[in-house]
Amino acid sequence: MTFLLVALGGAIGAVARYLLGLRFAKVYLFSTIPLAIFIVNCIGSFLLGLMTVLFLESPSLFLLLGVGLCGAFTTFSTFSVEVVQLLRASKWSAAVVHVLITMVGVLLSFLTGVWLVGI
Amino acid sequence: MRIIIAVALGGALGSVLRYAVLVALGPVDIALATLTVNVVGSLLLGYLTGMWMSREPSPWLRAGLGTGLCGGFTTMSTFALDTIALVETNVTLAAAYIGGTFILSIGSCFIGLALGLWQSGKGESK
Repeated sequence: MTFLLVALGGAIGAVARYLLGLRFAKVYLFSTIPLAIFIVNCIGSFLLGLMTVLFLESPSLFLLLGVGLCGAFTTFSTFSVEVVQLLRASKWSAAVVHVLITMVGVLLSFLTGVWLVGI
Repeated sequence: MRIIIAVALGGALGSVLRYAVLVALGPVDIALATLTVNVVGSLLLGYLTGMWMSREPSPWLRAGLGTGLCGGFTTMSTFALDTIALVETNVTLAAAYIGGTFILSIGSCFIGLALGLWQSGKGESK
């Protein structure tokens, strides 16, 4: 049952990421750093921040929406490929900036979510 | 429509595999489970990207395995959750977790991509 909840949330999360990724596919920072997955990762981290507090007492909802939906909506592997592609193109500073804004962006987004519903 | 279904199926499978790793490694350390999926998933997507550079796959295969499976298996939001949880108990460990996750995931992705390129080159020279 727990696996079904994660699978359902994961399917919805991945499709939402795909659609939003298409929507922001042409958004770049300094015309070198792709921002679509960055935007998705920040939104997903913000939502997981909210859910971590809201679903503290409801493990099934957290499995469906937290582990499944937010987990699959956000992604690390695409980010890694983006950075590797920048490194292969010798765009060193763009690669470093991409890593830094992602690190700071997702952590701040998560904290904002937690802070909004308050602990 | 076929692409959406491929992403949904891949995302469901990737998430279940990620949850299985969490169930297996969670009792040891939850952050270690997230680190593992992110490093392994980055390696796999790097490999697929390398393979696909010379031979364009069908769009639904790319969507299902790349966007769906690897995307759903790896996670950025849980990385943020683990980091903030670690900050509350051990700041040094949290910093090491951030650095370790980014260096190992990007590094494994680099190795995966090189392997994929090598593999596809070998296939072509035959």
